[in-house]
Amino acid sequence: MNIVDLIFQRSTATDTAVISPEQRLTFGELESRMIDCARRMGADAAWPSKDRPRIGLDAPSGADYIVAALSILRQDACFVPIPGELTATERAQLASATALDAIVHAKNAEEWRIDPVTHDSPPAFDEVALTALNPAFIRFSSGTTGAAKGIVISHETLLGRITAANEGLRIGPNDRVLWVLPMAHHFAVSIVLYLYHGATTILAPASDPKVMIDMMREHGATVMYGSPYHYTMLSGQPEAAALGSLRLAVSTAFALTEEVAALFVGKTGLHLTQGMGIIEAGLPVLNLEHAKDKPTSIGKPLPAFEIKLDDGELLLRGPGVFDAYLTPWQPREAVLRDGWFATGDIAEMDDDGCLFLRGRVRSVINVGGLKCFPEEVEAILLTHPGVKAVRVSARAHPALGAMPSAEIIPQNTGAPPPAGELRKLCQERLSAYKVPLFYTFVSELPLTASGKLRRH
Amino acid sequence: MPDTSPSTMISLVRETVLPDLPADFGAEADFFEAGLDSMGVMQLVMFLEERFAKKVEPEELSRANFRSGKALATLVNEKAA
Repeated sequence: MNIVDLIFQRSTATDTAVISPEQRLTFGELESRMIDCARRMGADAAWPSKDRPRIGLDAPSGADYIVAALSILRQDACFVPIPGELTATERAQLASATALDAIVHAKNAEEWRIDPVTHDSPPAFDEVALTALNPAFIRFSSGTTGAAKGIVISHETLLGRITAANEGLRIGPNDRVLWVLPMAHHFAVSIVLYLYHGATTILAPASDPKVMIDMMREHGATVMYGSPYHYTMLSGQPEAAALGSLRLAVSTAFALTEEVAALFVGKTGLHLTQGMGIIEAGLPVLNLEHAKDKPTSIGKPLPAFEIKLDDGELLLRGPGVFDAYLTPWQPREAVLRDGWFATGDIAEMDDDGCLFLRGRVRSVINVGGLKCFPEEVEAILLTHPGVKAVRVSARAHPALGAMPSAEIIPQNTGAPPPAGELRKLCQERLSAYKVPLFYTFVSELPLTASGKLRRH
Repeated sequence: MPDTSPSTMISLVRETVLPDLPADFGAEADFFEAGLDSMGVMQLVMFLEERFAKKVEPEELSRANFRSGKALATLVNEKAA
C-alpha cells in the first residue's frame, strides 16, 4: 500500500489541491507534476538502486515541497524531512542516525540535485525490520544520546492516523485549509491528511498576517491550522474580523493561554480549538466541545482513542501510533506499556472529561512546537572554559510559548564570559530555536537531594 | 534611555537570531530576505520585550515592523515615547 496512490485514486482531478502565493495546482496537475518529478528522480544517476532507500529532503516550504515529497514517497522510498534550521552538525547527525542513502536538495520541483550519502559503518538499526514495516517516513529530532529518536511511520499507520484525526476535523473536498506552519515538521501528517480528504491547502507566508488574511478571504478558507503566535499576530490586524468566517481554527504547537484565546475571540468572534498533535500518535485529542468555555483545555480524545492517566502522565491507545523508534531500534510493541503509549505529558482531567496539560515528565522545552532538550544545550555551554555549571530552562511568554534561557555559574565570578560568546558557541552547534535567548549569571543552582540539577 | 538606533537594532538582530548578517547590512535592508523566519520573529519579540521592558502588541506583529533595522527602531522608539 502506498498512501500517494490512495490520494490520487480518491481525488477529483479538477479540484484544487494547493494554492500558494505563486501558484495554484489542481489534483490532476499535482499528480502529473509529481509523476514527472518522480520519473526524473528515479532516472537520476544518483538515485539509490536499492529497495526502499531512505531519502532526505532539503527544500523550502511551498507547493513544490509537496510535489517533491510526494515524488519521493511514490517511489516507495522512505521520506526523511530535513528541517531548514538544522546546523551542519545536526544535519550530519540526522544523516548518520537515519542512515540516509541520498539527499534531495530541491530549490523547487524542477531544480534539484541528488547527493548520495556514504557512511563509515552500517546502520545502527535493523534495516530488514525497518523495510518490512513499509515505512513512509522518519521524523528525526536531534538531541543528546537517548533523546534523539527517529520516529518511523509506515504508510498503513499514516492512513490510520489521518483517518482517526479526521473523525474530529471532518475535513472534506469543500474545505480550504489555511496553512502557515513549517512543512518539514508537519508535512507527513497534516498536508497528507488534507490531500487524502480532497481539501485545498492554502499555503500562506508564516510571518505576514496581512497576506494570511488576504489569502484567507480570496480563497475562502474554512479551516486554519496555526500556533498561538499566529493567532496573536492575526488578532492584531485591522481585518481580523474576517477570520470569524472560518468553521474551525485549530491551535497547536504550544499551549494556548487564556489571554490569547480571549484576544482572538474578541477580534473574530471565533473560539480557538486547541488540539494535541504529537509526532508519535498524530492528533488524538481535540477540544471540539469546550472551545468556548474551556479554551485552554486540549479537549477529549477523538472517537478512535482511549486515554488514561498514570501517576499524572497521559497515556493513550488507538490507531496511527508510530511503528518504531529507529535509534536505538525499538518496535512499537516494545515501546508501548501494555498497549498504551506514554506521551510524556502531565495532564489533569476535569469533571467533563476535558484534559489540561500541566507540563512534561522529562525536562523538554517546547519552543514554538519544537523540542529542545536542556541537557543538549547545557552540554554545549559546558564546553566554554568560563562556564563552571549551567542550567537551561524555559522562559514562558503568554503568546509565544517558551524560549530556552540559561543560568550560568561562571568559573571566575569576577569575570563571567560575555553572553555574546556563549550565544555564538550555541549558534554554531545548535538549531536557532535551541539557542538560549537569555543568559544570567548566578552563584548557585538548585539541586535535588541526589545532587542533580533541579528542573522546573 | 537605551540606544534604539537602527544600527543598534541590526546588532541586536545579529546577536540574537541572524548571526551571519554582514557588517555592512543597511538600515533599510530586509531581514526576511536575509533569512528571518517566524521562529526568529518570536525570539526577537521576546528579546526586545525584555531588553526594552515594553510589550509588543498583537497589532505590531506585522511583517513591516520587523522588516529592517530602521523599522525595528521606529517600533521601539514609538513604544518608548
